[in-house]
Amino acid sequence: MKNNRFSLGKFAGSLVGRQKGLTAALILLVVAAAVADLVPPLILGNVVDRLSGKSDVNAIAGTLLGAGLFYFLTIFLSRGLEAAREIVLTIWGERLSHGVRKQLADKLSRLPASYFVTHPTGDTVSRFADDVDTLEDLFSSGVISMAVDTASLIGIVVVIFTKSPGLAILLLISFPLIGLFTAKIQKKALFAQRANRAAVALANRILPETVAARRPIRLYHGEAFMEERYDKAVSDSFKAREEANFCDAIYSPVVIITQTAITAVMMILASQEAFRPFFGISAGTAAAFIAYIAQVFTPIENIGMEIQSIQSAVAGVQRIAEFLGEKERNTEEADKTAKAAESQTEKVGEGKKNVTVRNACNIACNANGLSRNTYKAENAKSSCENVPTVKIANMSFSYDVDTPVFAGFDLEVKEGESVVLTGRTGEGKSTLFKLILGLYPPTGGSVCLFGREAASLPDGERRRLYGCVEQDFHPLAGGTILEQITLDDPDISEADAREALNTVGLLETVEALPEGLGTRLAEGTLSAGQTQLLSIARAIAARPKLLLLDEITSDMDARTEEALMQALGRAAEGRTVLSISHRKELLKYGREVAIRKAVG
Amino acid sequence: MAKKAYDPGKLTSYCKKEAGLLTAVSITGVLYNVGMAAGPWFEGQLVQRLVEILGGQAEAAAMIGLALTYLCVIAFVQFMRFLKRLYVRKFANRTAQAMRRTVYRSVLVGSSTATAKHTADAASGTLHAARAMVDRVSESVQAKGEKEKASETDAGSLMTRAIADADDCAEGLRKFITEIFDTGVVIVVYMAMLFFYDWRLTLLVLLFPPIAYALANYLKKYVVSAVHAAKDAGDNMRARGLDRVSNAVTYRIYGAEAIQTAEYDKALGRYEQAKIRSGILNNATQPIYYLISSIGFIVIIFLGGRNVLGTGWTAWDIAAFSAYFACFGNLAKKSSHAANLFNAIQKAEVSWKRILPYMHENDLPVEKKVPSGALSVSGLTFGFEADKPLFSDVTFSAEPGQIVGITGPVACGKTTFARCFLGEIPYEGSIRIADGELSDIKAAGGDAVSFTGHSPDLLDSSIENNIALGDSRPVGHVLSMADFTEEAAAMPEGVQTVVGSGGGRLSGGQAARISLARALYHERPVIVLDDPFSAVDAETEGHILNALKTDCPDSIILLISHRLRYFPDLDLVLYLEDGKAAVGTHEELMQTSPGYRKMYELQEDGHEE
Repeated sequence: MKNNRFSLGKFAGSLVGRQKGLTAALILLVVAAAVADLVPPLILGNVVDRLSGKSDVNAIAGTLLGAGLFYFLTIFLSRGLEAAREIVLTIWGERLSHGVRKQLADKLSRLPASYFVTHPTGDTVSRFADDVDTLEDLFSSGVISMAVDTASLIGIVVVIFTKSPGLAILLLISFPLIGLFTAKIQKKALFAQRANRAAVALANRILPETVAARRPIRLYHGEAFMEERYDKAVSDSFKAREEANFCDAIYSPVVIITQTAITAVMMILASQEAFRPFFGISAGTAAAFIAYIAQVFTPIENIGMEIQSIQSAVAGVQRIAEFLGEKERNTEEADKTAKAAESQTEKVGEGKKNVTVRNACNIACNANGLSRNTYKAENAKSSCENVPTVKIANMSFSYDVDTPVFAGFDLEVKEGESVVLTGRTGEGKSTLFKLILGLYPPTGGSVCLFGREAASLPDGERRRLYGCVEQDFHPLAGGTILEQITLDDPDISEADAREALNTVGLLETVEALPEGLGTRLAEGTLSAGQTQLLSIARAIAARPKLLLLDEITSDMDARTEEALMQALGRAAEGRTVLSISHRKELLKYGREVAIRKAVG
Repeated sequence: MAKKAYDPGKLTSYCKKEAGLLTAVSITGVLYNVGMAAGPWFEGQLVQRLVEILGGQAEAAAMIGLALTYLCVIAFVQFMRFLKRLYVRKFANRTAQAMRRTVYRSVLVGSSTATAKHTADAASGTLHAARAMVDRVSESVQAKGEKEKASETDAGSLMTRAIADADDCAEGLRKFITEIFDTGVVIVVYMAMLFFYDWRLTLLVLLFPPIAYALANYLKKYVVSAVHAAKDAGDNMRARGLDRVSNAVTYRIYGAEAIQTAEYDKALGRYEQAKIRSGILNNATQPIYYLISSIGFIVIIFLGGRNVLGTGWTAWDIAAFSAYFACFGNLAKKSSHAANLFNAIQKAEVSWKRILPYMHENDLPVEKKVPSGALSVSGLTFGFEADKPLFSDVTFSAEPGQIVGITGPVACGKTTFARCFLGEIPYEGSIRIADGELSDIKAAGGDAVSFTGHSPDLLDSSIENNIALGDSRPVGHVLSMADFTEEAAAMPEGVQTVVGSGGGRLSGGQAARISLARALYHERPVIVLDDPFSAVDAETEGHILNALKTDCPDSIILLISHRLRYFPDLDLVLYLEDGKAAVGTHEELMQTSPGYRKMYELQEDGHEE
């Protein structure tokens, strides 16, 4: 396994780098919109000044219409730029999110099978969904809004500074205060929200519990007891929420009062003779500044609000980075071995038996002297009697160094044979299956299917070589019955799927559904037993020569089980079958091989 | 509260219940929003005063009083706003809690119609969902076992959704009340102020917002459909992602990883396109409204300016001009939110309709004692299919204090037999307890049967709570009957030890014995124990059986088991096989029932299970 160094900077750079044009356009629009936003209050101030001057009534009246139109035009421009900015921002943000999600999906294919055992599905899913969502929010609002807000903030302060340094100083004094207040409220609100979330989670846990234990609750009239429990949990959550409510309710009034106070102080000082030059305010600029002060506080408020989404996005990015930095399965090395094997095979074919230890597996796989290429050609039928369908030689395996699961294990399954693996729970039956499926490479020896190393079979050929009926059926989310069988493989036709359904005896049932094979598989569409049959249909749809049957664990009634056994019998016809079972019934289908754990 | 006056199925009853809070919301809400007009007015006055001071018509000190009054008034108005926000949230919280309580009780007491209705609504109302539901209902009668587990998770998520709907509903109510004041009232106040300054000018400038509103409304449907499309694409994309991850191993086994990643990428592409489309529509249409309203600014500068110059309809000073200008600006912004008011109503309505099936008052059922007496079962027949009875014509009787053992091969219908006694499935024939027919007792709300089954169904609460379920009687004697006293005492907090979700912190045998203690605690004329010893060793089993024999003189115990070690000690044995029941003492059955004898002898030989 190689350790993939993951650099967040590089990752972000490569994402943004692919959208160079858009990024540039975005920056341009941000600046332009911020500048355009400054103009309307200036025009208003100009109008007020002229009106309060009252020098030549007729001359002023003549310019009013023009001024009005100009004012409107600037609003139009500023809003238009804003809209354009938001549009470009959406495109930019969505493309980036798409890129991130695609990278995550690609990474998934490169992870070793052990990852899926050690990491709960929910955890990985939340990286795909929730974490990228926070990132998407950040792209579409957070970062950019903050940049936009900062840009307009700077713009306004600059304009105010050139016109009235006094007001600018007033504002600069108030900013840190507002900032501190925002941070404090944010912290408090976050804390309250966390407490609330914990209480809500507790309350929500009671729900499934109530449903699970509803029989004794109803039978023994524990209803009042449960209600009290639930009510207490809900009350707790609301108590925590009151705190958050307080923060929520107080924030914006305080900001507006501060804003009012600044306006009041500005007006008082501007009207005092001593300060007047320092403030340099005329009636018009006063009107404009009142508008600016309102404008200045909106971005400050927003920045305060965005901090939280930025924080959660940072956490999201870290989790994404963690996932992308996971160790990958060693595909390159597998490729290399495959190539080495090929050359080695040729040598074997020529009868030169200088075998290195490193390639022992591939030699073992091809011990019968058949080269990979000839085998491929003969894949369809015949001549393979000499190549065992499954050959496991001197195989050892362990999940961790101390506890070997297998040591020097041998197993050979010939074409057309039926083998049942038996043994108690925990003896390694399932592990053996995973090795045969190539999910794990053996730590020593070889695991070969059709004379080829199991772990390095190319994806495209797997379904044609073997079909595996898994312990539980994994439905394709929202997929039709047809898609459940094909798994979207374009090479498996509807006719193939029909044939498979017919073999397992499910065709009639499926055709009776409202849309036949096009019916979406929802919960309740098929019974549990029928779903198992569908699972077998999926396994045999590509007409594999080897059928692997994992233990089907779910309890089922006798009738269902009978139908299942019959379907399995038909599916096994003409195939090599390897199955795991503690069911005696299966034994009549083949030779029994008991699995015992290696003693470590 | 009077029982009839409060109907949880009516929204108004929640408002009535919180009338005090709502009054507070109304007062502060009106004060705040009327006060909103003070801002522009004062700002106008401030500018005017500055003009006067700069022009030498007023003293500089005159500004101080005005500015401070301005600050005080705004502070008061904002304080009102703070109170309004606080109260309205409090109202929402209390309403949410009341709704949650009602929903929870509905589920608790169990109104299946509500559950079914909710399923139909929630499952997007497609034909498939309806079909799936019919299937589920019919199958829930047909096949039990793992099917039941599935429907349990279903019920759990349904319940979670119903509770979320209750929250949404309260939240919608909150938004609605907020919008009434913050949009409705404030628009009226602003309009009144505008009319006060110059009614002719106001008539003219108010022409524009309605035009804008009409246009926005017309465009809205495109925006809404685009937003919906984006949401659907998002759901699809997320579902695909979930699928890609959770089926990762399956796809690897089948070599379908690349194909599935490509499918996911396609979904991502669709999502990206839909999201961009909705983003463009949304952002392009949003400014239209404000821009059309802004045409009013041209009119105000042109005609309002004439007012100031003294050549217009009304004589204005700079204060009037500034105030009017600011007020119109606020109105234009506010009224662009007018749609929020209607959206809030709509959203709340949707959730309300979804939870309505749950919103009726249920009384909490209470224990209704049934006199104990002899059990007499005759002609008891049951089958999921009419022609294939699981068992038929079972007849036996027992006296209080007796223990009846029931056994048979796997899938002979033992558990179904127990369910007949629970009244969970209809039966033919008769089950009489102290001369009352079980189905009649059940119908009258009587509690005649205690039960413990395969799954212990424990709550994430203390051992004591799990047994007593809120009852205050001590649990000591049933703990000892279940042979659990010492083990409980050895736990960190004794009987107060919390057992974990589903009893997860206990061993299977411990959980089974708590479940048994629970059934014995709630002692009833008939106690059905379905395989209570499967996770318990033989010695403990013996202890428990002895306790059952001596300590339950008033109850008849039906002990369903596949372990026959102690069956010779029981008062009566039922052997179910091929739909028939052999009844008799252990010795009798050893003679008359070859199936029973074989089963017993097999276990005697040590081939247990």
